[in-house]
Amino acid sequence: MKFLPQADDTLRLDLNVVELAFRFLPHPDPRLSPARVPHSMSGEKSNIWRIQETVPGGGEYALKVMNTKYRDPTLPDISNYLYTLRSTDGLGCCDRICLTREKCRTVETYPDLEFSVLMPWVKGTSWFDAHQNHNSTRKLSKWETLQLGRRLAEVLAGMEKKSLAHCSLSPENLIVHTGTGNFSVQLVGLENLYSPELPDRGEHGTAVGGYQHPSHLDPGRSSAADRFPGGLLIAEILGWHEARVQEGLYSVECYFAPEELQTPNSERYRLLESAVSEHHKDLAVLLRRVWESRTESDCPPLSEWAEKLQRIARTKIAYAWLAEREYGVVENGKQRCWERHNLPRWLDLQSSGDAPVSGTQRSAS
Amino acid sequence: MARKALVIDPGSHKIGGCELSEIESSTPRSFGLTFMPYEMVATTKTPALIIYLIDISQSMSGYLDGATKIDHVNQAIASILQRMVQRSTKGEIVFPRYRLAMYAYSDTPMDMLGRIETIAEVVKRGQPKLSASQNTNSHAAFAVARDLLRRELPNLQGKPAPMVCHLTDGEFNGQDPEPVAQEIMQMSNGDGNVLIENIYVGPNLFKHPVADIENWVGIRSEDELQDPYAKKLFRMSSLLPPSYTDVIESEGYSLQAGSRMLIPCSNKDLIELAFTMSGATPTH
Repeated sequence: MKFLPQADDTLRLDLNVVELAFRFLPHPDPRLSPARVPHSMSGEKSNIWRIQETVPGGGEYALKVMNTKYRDPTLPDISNYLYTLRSTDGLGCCDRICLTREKCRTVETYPDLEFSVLMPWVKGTSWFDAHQNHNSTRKLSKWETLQLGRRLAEVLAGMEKKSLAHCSLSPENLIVHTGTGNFSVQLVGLENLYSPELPDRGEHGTAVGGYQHPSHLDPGRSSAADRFPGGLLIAEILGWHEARVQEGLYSVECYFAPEELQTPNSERYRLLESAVSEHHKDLAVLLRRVWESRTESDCPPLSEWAEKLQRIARTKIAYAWLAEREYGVVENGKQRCWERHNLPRWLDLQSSGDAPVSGTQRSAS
Repeated sequence: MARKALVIDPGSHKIGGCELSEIESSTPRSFGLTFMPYEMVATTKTPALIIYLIDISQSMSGYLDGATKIDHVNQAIASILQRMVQRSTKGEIVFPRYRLAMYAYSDTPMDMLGRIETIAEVVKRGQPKLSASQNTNSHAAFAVARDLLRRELPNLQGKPAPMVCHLTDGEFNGQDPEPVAQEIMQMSNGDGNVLIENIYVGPNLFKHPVADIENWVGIRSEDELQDPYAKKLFRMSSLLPPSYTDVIESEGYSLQAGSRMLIPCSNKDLIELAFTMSGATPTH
C-alpha cells in the first residue's frame, strides 16, 4: 500500500507491542486546508510528516519516511548512534527510533515505512523560511541576530569538538527559535552526519549549491566539513538585521548564487561583510577567511566563531547604544529603555560623555 | 547526491544509458530525439512550467479498476499536487517551485485556472473535481498548449524545459493532434525541447500487461503496444530524460531514461505513476 496520507488521517504504530495512534497534522497554511494537505516536506532522500499523538496534550513528532532508494539496512545502526548524541547541544532530533519489521508491525501493512525514523518535531522557523520573509525572522534586531549567530556557532563548534560534522548544512536543515529572549538553534537532516565512530558510507556532503565549497580539494568527509557552509550561515544570520542583506538574497534556497561563491567582486559578499562588521570587525575578518579559503579545512575552525561571538555578546555596551538607534526610545534625554533586549539599566550613557557611535566602534574599545 | 551525468559513448552508441540503435529503430520520426541535458532544477528562481491537458469526454465516465476513469484522474491529480506541495515546503511556507496551467477539454479546451498559477495558488482552490462530458478534441487541446508555450518560452530561458502532460482515454474527434504535438516537441528553451507526456487510460493497451509497476522500466518500442491509438500516442511522446529518473526513482518506480513518456494506464496504480512522471522535473 502506497504511503500518501492526508491531513487528519490516523496512523497506528505498533511499536514494541505498544500501539500508539498519531494524527497527520494539516499544513500550517490554512488556505491549503480545503485540499486536506498535510504538513510534510520532501527532500532528496525522504519525506517528512508532522504527526501528533492522539492523546490529550499529545506530543508532536516528525515521521521521516525514506525514499525507496535510500531504505538502507544500515539506517537502524545510524539511528542508534545518533540516539547517543541526543543530549548534544542543537541535536535534539537525534532522540529517535528507527522503525524496523522487528520493532514495528505496522511496517508489514506499509512497507514504505521500513527504516522510517520517528523523532521529536523541532519547533521553530527553518532558515529556509526566513529566506521567505517568515514573520518570526523578518525583523530580527541586531542583538537578536548576534544571539542566533552565537548559538549556531556554539552548536557547530560543539560538534566539531566532538569530531562531528553535519555535512549537509543548508537553510532547510537549520531551525531557529527566537521566542521571549530564548534563542535556540537546532539542526535537522542528520542522516549524513560525519563521525569517526560511524563507518565511512562513501558519501559526500549534500550541501546546496550556494553553501558548498567551490574547491574539490578536500580528500573526503571530515569534521571540518561544516566550516565553509557553517561560516556562511553564521555570517548570514549575523547580517539578517540589515534589510539590504535580506533583500539581496540570490534565491530562497541560498544567499549566494553558487557560481558567485569566493569571487572577488561579489556585491552580496560586500553587503554581508559590511553587515557582519557592524557587530565587530573581527567577525568580518573571519568571514573573509572563509571566503578566501582554499579548502573546507582551510576555513576558520567553528570554535573561533563561537569564542569571538561569545566575547562580543558579553560586551553589551555596544548593543546598548544600538538600542537607541534601532528603537529611538529615550527617557528624559538620559536614560535609555533596554527592556527590548533585557539589557542592564546600570549603564549611564550621559557620564560617558560620548555621542552614540556604532556598535563596532564601541565594542572594539 | 549528484545527478547522473549525460554519458555519450560513441563506441557503444549509448546516450544516458539508452541504446541509440533502440531509439532509432523504434521511432520513425525523430522529433525530441536530440538528447539535451534537462539539467535545470526547479527552484523559485527557475520554476518548472507544467501544462496539463485533461480529456473529460463522455467516455471518461466509464469504469476502470473499480471506479470511473475521471475519479481516478481526480485522485491522481490531488496526489501529484500534494507531492508538489511537499517538494515546495522546507518549513511552513510553500515556495513557488512549480507553475501550472490546467486545461480540461472535450469539444473545446477550458482553462481551469484562468492563468498560470503557482503550486500554492492551485492547491488553495481545493481538490479538483472534474466531470465527464461530450467529445474529445485533442487537437484543440494541444493547440492551446502550443499557443501558451509560444507566449511563455521567451521567459523560460535558464529554467527547466516545460512539460505538457496530456491525459486521454481514447480516439480523438476532429483534427489529428499529432502534427501540433510534434510542433510542440520541437519548441525548446536552453534546457531542452518541450517534453510531452501522454497518459492513456484504458484496458488492454499492452501486448503484455505490466505485472510489477514498481519495477517496470517503461515503453521503448511501439511493438509493446497493441492499441493503434496508443501507438500514435507513442509517437507523440518525448523520451524520458535521465535527470527525471531520480525523482521518479525516489517515488519508488524504476522507469528508465530513454523510455517514452507514455503511460498506458489500465489501473489506478499506473495512473498514479503517470502523474508522478508529470512532476518529475529535477529538484536537486
